[in-house]
Amino acid sequence: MARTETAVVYLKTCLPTDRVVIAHSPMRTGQPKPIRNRPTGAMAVEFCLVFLASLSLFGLAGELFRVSMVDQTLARVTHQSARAIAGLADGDVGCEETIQEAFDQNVGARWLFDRNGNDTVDIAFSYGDAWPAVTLGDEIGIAISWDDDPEAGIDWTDATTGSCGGDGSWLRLRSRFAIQPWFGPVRAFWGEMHRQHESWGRNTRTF
Amino acid sequence: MRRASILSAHARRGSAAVEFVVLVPFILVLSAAIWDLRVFTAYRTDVARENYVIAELIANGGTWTSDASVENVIEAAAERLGATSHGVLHVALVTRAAARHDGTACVDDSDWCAPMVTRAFYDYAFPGGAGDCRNIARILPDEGDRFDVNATVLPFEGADPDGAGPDPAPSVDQWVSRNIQPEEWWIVVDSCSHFGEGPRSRLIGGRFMNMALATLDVSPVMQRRSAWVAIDDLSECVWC
Repeated sequence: MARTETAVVYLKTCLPTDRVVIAHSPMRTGQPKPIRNRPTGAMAVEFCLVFLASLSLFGLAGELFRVSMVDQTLARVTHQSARAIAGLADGDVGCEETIQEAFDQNVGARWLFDRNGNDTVDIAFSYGDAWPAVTLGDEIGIAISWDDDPEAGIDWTDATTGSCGGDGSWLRLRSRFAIQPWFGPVRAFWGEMHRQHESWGRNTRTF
Repeated sequence: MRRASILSAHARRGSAAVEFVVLVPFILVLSAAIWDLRVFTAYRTDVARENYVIAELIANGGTWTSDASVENVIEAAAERLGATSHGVLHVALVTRAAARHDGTACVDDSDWCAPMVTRAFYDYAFPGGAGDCRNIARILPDEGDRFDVNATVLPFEGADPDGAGPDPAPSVDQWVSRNIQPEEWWIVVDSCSHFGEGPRSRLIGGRFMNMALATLDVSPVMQRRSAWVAIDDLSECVWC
């Protein structure tokens, strides 16, 4: 080749065949300016825009997936706890202990709710009709109440600290978890969210 | 030689903005659809789970002294499910019929005899209304009527547990209208719920979700049946 410094690069994979980028060596001084058929920097701008938009959307999708996992795990473990209490035959095992065990034995619950990494889900128990109050500093809040006499209407007002009700009563567990999105833009939009679930069980012994 | 481009330089310059504007709504709609499907799936799981709890609860309530307890429990359950949907609940107390479909009296306990509905607590609408469930006929028999021979009402619990049964014998855990002991009683709960129409549907897409489900031939109206055997004998049940 007469001009070995010149190379013609066909970017066949990125551009239409009629769009050819001719790259000139810097040594070819005094020659006409190389032909460019894209505005300067457009590729970089496009890449940045699409990359940032994709990142945000994947972040949002990831958060939705995380919230979904929290929802489903909380629902399942709350139900398992209520069922465990309802079917409990061992008089030496307490109500709170049974709920704690149900949460600790669920791998998903430990993974999602054990914030401080001490291999157990720290549960704050409360007793009464209201939803438990939890913040981001807590792991799980559980409110326990029951109805001793369904004949008079269901009111869920029976509650005694440390107890899950008497034999034949209808037990209700309300669990709540505070979740904070990890992804910055989503966190700014949502802040702190609460996910909650309630489940029932029928006591077959007195706690 | 510079070749002519099909696109003008002006059009090429705007490609990033065009991509952004065109793609983002699609991805947002897709994310909303995925979230709605998640809520829908979670609701289906919840209804199936709670249906059994209601049946178990009533079946274990043999010591209740009146129908009021049963009615209160059903109303509370309807309220709970009605928080996120419209629908209706039916509860039936099932015991052994006195005679077979052909009129043969069920004298021997080991005789094949169909279950029947002894007490019926039907048509408890959710607080927000029955939704599209009002157009769906109840499939539990009326009070005093037997289940059909091949109705799915009670689980078959193994080979020949209570004497003669349907021929050929069904597989274990298949739900059939099987033999039932004189002291045995079950609670059968039928729920019909119209998802996405409740006061707190939690759907992003709202009615669009119903359209999408209809397109996929998935009905937002769900029917579930749960049955739970009582721990007490029928003679020990006060309200039965």
